[in-house]
Amino acid sequence: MVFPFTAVRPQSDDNKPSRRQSLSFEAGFLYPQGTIKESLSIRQNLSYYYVNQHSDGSISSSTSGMLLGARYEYGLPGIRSGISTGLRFVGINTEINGYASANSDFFYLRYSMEGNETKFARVKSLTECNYLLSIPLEIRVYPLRYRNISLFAMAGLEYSVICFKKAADITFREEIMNPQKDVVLENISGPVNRNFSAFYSSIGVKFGKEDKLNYTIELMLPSFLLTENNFYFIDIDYLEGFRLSVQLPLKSN
Amino acid sequence: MKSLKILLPAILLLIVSSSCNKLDDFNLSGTIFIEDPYYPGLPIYSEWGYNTFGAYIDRKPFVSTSDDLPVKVIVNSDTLNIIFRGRMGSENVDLKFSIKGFSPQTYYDLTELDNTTFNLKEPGRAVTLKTGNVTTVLNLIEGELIIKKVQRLYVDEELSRTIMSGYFNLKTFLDDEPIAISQGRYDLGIGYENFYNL
Repeated sequence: MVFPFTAVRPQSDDNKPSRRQSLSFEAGFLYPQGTIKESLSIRQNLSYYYVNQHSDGSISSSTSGMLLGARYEYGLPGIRSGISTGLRFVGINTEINGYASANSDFFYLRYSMEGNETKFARVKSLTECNYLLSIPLEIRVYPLRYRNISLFAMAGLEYSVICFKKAADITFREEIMNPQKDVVLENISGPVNRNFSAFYSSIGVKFGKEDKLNYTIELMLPSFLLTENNFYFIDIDYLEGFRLSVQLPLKSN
Repeated sequence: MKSLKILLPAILLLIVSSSCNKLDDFNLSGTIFIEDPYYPGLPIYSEWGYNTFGAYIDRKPFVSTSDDLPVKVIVNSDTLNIIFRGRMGSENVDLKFSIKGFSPQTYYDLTELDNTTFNLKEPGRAVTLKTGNVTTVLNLIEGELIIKKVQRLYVDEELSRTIMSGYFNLKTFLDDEPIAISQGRYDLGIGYENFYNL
């Protein structure tokens, strides 16, 4: 049996995407992949030392993001494509935690090293949040269509224009350290870019009749930040994710 | 098409709800013994108080273990004794450096030794190697103990211990055969439990 999408009917005017304009509302999740910055001086623990010469502790970092946006798309049926742009809200959060043993959920962070004095803080978590408004510019190509299902590939560029919030925070294990919070954060988080740009691509499926309400599901392929030093605590290698959209037709030519 | 309109929002809801359970993680494993890629079997040189040391005795790694405190610092009268306790293969080995003329009162006073190099051939210096139950005062050909960095460690703004980091190398005779203890490096925390002023 042949894969159904290969059984495309001979193209005729009625199943070519018509030149139409649409408005898409999108929501999605981003899964950034990367590592904790080497400049962040984290030590797992001070005392535990095991026969296998590894501590039983670990540091874990989780970064996740979400996006919400609206895009205007202009269809180019001659080349089975569409160009879109709009506004997108992007939020990316990072949390770094430590684990030493069942009752030691913290890690040691070196925040000062001057002369013969070095200072560690017991830290439960380091967090970072980034909330941005960006402008995407995307081109979609719809090479295959079968009945009410279209496959598409997309490539896009995005540049953030407004940074609503970019902040780092720290939770100490001992409350006595709270007065030192600003000093510690200043020592460990250097200046970073407040805005970012990215190149990204996706493949997806669109469901629905032409000139009707359509739905799309997109798998974001690994995308790359074009700007560097965008985050306080992590270096992002690439971003993945998925996106869901609802496409409302505006008018057809 | 009607069923599609019902199905798609359901799929959307399912994906969104499942994605909320666990977002992407990328983990880093924290270790204390970080093997030196250039000198297999030895820890890297560090200044974190990882409580490790290591050296090659000829070609065999002599490294700290978890069974014993890797270091004891014993001040006896006017002599500072630094004893590295570890293992070479299955044998317990102690390497003791004795330096006359230094007698820190507390482990915090070890910072006086920051950035100091001791020529172990000079008078008032001695190195002893204990392998199993056999103790040998080494007749050195050459040797040095470098105390590169000594730091007072504060944890949550409270003075906790001292971190001593550096290198050591020596050539000596053992059973009338010349041997080298090379690529020695250490990164040790010294506190109440392993500092003795007798």
